Amino acid sequence: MMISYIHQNSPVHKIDARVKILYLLFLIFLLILKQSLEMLAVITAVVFFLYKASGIPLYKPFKDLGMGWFVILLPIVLHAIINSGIFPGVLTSLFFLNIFLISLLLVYTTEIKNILQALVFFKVPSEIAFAFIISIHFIPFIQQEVERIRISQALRGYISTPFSPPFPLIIPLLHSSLKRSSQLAISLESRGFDSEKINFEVELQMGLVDYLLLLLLPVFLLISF
Amino acid sequence: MVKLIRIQNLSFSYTGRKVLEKINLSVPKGEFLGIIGPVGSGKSTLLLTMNGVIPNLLKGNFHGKVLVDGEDTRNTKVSELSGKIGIVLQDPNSQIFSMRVRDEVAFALENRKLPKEEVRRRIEKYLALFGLHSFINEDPNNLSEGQKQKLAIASTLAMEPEVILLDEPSSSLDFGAAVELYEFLTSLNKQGKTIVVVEHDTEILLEYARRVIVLKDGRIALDGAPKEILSNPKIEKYGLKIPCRLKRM
Repeated sequence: MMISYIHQNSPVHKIDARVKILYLLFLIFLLILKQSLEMLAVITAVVFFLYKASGIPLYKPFKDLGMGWFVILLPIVLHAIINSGIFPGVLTSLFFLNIFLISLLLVYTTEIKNILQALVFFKVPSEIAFAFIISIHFIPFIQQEVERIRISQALRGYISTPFSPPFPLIIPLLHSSLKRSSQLAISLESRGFDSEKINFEVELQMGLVDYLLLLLLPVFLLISF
Repeated sequence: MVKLIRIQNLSFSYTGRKVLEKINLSVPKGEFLGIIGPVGSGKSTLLLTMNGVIPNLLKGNFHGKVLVDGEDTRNTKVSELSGKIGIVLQDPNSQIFSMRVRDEVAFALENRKLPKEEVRRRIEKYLALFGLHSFINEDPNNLSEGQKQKLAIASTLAMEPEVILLDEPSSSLDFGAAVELYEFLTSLNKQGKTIVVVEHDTEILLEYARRVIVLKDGRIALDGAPKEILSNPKIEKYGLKIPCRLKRM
């Protein structure tokens, strides 16, 4: 399973990348600022509804999370040890899970170039925007690379468990990732990439639904606070 | 004849290892130059000095001078030189980063701020030229290694630079595709483009290059016409193969 754009013809896919990013930030801010059980329940329901509307099967992000599960489940373990109770830990884990699910939905439903265009539109410096989208784009390669390294080390007797020393996996992964990023940097610069504004072949265009969603955003903000 | 690339007394080393030593080389406009040499002889490094990647992006001990159309690469941004010199790296997987084939070709053109109509025209033209037009909206990761190599070449050629540098372009192509590529490079060369290619296949160089240099331990060991250089028994000592056609002679 790969974390990358999934081509579908759903209403969520059709929403302009800029509007999606605004809503993503809105939901994350809500999660951070309104730390209540009710808000968590509402946002979880909204996230599940958006996945249903996008046609992306819900098991997909759960499978793709991989090492992300460590971050998500850690609060439960920590709360169980420190506070002798798991309920606050479950809430914190749900908070992290929602952030992951919302972010993954953006990646699944938005072409990477449109994310870049949206970031440049929001005046994010093009080097940072580029670094961000390239890191998203390289997630599947890193996943593939980890699998390849894991298999080749397993052939030499290395058994990958949470308790095995990670160096046989991490060192080749770092080496190949650094080599790939250095080659990519050479290729980008050699094709004229500079920090000035990029002249995109196809510009983002907002539709009626996008304008409607933008108008609704302040209304949602008022209702929430 | 106009010297498009002039390398003067160039030495380069990094992490204490000498990679290039006292290289003096002139590449006139319209040249089809082949660079050959054993593994680790500095072929790819020499190529990267020609478009300013060394010393601007890859740092090290750089001595001497590389002039591209009179401009010193030490004082010119790689992105500025990209209008004159295009490079195709050996591994296409390291350079392809777009989600769609068309975006990969458009990338360099958008950076050069070409009008949208011109960008579209060149995308169509260069994808058709490499038989990739039917994949225009596909994810490049779904292409075969050979098709990815063609895409990497198409995205560089679409910039229509004066000089085209290629690092082992036939390494992931089958024989037919490699011949097709070299035929195309020859036609570009006949139109006045300067081609510099690092190649391990001496048969190909004999057929297509007009000049060959052999690098050994970072120095130019031999320089001359392909027939003369590739029939020199010394190249076998360097671990290179004398083309079959010249052996029979």
